[in-house]
Amino acid sequence: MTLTVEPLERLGELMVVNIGPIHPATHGTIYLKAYLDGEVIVKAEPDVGYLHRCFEKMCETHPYHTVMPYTDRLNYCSCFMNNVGWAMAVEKLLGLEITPKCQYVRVILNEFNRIIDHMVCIGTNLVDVGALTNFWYAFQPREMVYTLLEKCCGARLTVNYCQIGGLIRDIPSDFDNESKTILKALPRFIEDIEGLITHNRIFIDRTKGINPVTADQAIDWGWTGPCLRACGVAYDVRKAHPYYDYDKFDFSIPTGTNGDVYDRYLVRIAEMYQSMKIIEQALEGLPDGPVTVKDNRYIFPEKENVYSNIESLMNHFKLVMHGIKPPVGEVYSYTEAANGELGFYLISDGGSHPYRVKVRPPCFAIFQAMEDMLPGHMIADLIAILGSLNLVMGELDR
Amino acid sequence: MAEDTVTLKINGKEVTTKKGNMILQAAEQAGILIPHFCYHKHLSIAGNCRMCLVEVEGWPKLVISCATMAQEGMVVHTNNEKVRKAVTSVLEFILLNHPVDCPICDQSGECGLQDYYMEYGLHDSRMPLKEKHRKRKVVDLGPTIVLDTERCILCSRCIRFCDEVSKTSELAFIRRGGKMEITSFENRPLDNPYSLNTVEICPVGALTSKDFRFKCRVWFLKTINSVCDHCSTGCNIYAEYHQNKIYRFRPRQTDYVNKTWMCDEGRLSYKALYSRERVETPMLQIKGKLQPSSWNDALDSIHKTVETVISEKGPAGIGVIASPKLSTEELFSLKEFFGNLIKTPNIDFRVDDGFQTNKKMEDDVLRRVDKNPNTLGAMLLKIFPTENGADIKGMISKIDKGDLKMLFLVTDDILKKEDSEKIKHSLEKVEHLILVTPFKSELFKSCEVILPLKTYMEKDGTFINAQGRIQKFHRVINPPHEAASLVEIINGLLQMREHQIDLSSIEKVFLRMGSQHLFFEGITFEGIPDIGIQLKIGEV
Repeated sequence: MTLTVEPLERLGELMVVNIGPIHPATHGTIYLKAYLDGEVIVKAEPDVGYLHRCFEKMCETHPYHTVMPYTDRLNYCSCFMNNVGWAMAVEKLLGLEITPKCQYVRVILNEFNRIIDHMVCIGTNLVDVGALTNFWYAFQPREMVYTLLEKCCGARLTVNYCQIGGLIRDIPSDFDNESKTILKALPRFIEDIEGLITHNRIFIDRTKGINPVTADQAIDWGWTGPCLRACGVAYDVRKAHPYYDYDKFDFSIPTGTNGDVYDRYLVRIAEMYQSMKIIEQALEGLPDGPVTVKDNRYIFPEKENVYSNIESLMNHFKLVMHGIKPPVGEVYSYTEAANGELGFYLISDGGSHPYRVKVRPPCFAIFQAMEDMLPGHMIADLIAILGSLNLVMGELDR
Repeated sequence: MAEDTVTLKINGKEVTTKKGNMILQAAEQAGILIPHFCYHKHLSIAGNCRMCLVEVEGWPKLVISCATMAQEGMVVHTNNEKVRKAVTSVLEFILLNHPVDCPICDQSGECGLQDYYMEYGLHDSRMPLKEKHRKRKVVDLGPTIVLDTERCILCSRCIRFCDEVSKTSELAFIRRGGKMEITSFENRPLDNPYSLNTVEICPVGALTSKDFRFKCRVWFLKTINSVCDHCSTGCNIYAEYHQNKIYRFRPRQTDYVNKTWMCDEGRLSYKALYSRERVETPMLQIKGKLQPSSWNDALDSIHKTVETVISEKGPAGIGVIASPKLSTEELFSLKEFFGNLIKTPNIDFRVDDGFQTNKKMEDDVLRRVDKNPNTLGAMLLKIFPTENGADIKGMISKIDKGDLKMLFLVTDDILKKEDSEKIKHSLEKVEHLILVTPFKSELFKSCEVILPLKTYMEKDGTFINAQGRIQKFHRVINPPHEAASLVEIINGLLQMREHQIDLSSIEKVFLRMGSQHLFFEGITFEGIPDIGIQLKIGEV
């Protein structure tokens, strides 16, 4: 229900509403200056940078392995996926082949993270449009996934579980069981949400036809992830440029038709089922063996050895103090994160710090469309749209 | 082909080197680094660490490149499979009994073992911890050095240093095989003026400096090229600091001055910067009390004093005593202002007459009697009394007679003179005593104005050493509060009167020095290389 937009000459007569940078419905420090004619947005000026932390410059002043905790703070709803993104980029730079077991564990935890990321997105989106109950259904499985991550590495939110060349430590012995328990419990929560929402009159009224984006527009804006797929473009890095045996798993790419808020919701729900399918297959084929490759040039030695022999101690010492020294070169490495393509562009000058790091966060490309998309919508729609785009300030502002 | 050179091939690279050079030296010339522990450029060759093994085509066994002379037509490989395997094995052997000490070892971060492990080792240990030989730890070798015999890799660099450079021969090996260790001869302490060089050349953490031990981890230290100001040799140094505090001086290699050595006194001379309380702001004597003031007020007060004294007694009523510890630019600025502009004839710098007492602090290695870094600079710039002017002694007697009304005193080094009590007594009688000093001084109560001076670690500048080399130093740390260099102070004074003198930047000072003194002509501060320039001064 797009309304006609008044010519911009009238801006002076319009009411200006500052939405953010601190606002409960923006889920982060986003700032929108909205010019309103009644309840209709005539013009919107989005602004970024309120959570800017110099992420890229911080990476450039730190040895490669100490960048890992920073990546946790990009999209903090699915930290592990950022870990994998960074680890993959550095491994590509080093030409390091990680072990099959590590690949599978990374796939399993990636997909779990995708599920909980979608859960958070859907849950909060629904809260914003007035459907509070679903929030609990969405956050309960998230708790279970966090408990699994805690068993793996001790941390829940900012996991820092990856290391260059593998994982910080091996998975716990009951990893398989735990994962299966979660898989078993998950459908109930998703079905609950679907039952309450998918055919809900109020929800449909609030979301169907709101902010429709065509495939061409989305591609022009550089959209990726569920928002792009909601427009009907079946692009997914896992299929288009498979990594970690994604090409061996049987799963499909759900797409929408209208590219509106409602379709984005549908795509996310459908993707959760696909992720579960991938996890099941990965658990089935989970290989044995070490989770970290052995390469004294790049990989930290075992703690036990560090304490008992001089070679490992020196190795550890040099890696910590002076870092790894990758060959000169540049790589672009990209993964399908929860909200789209997460890319790391890395330039090495042979030193212990990256010469340049550029992050391509999925929601930055999505956010740039705000100014074009919002005019004509009502202010209440804005809240629904914001939630459906899944903007995470941690990675948007970096 | 000249007769005194040979040409050989190292890793496919043609290298021409002086006849008699070792393969290692020839490789270094070609930019190929061969790992080594025992070899040292300025010591004799021992050939006992075996790290520098290389393959020479046609020779049955690998040879140590530090002790194998480069020969015509040799084909050498330093980095092939065979060599790498051998070097890794040598390193593993060296590490066999090495203690698991990195976290408590001062050498960590600049350790040859650590560096070579990452480059040539990368092997896993095959030696269980409990089977390692245990030896003496924390052995007190003397006033400056602690020895850890477990960490020692028996390269013998320190022994050779004591034999060949300091010529004191305190150190030797005892025992054989796995029990071999370094010791000082019959517990005679390792106590010579160059002892800390053994710490410097120790490739591992066996010899550590008592002064630096556990003070700061080396990877925190930042390094700036500088010059030692402890004597007129002017050894090139690295000044290493962390969080605005200097932690150590290390010799910086230059073949012209100090090779790779440095004396202990010079090495520890950074401590003098912290030994006395600093002056932080300018101070003025107001109603019999010293009170902090602004720079403006202080300089204004000096300006007025100068005017008054000139109107009463003429320029001869003013005296200036500089110090040979000042930088060349500072001495020049001082001379420009007081000599050329105000035209006082009373100017001198010879505050240090400790030449006789310093005699025992001289030798033919590096140390010199003259413990001032810039005596030659002051002499070249003619910081002497002009005709009818008074030198320091003359100025003191002029003060006593009441002819000298104002004394501009830079640093209180004058109190180092033998008759310091008498001098102090005389200085109390100066009507206007102006003291520029980094440190608090016992002269304070007689001063009219006190200006805080930067130490040489806090400013850019140059010293001219006894050979006539002009060598530059850079700001390493920040000065406390408002301290300024003498160039900045003179600039402040210059702003208060009319003149044509531009000393507003260090380059301007050099430009002006060049226009007045032939040997400075064409020299810019930027243009002076890190190893300095030999000035064409002839006989001074």
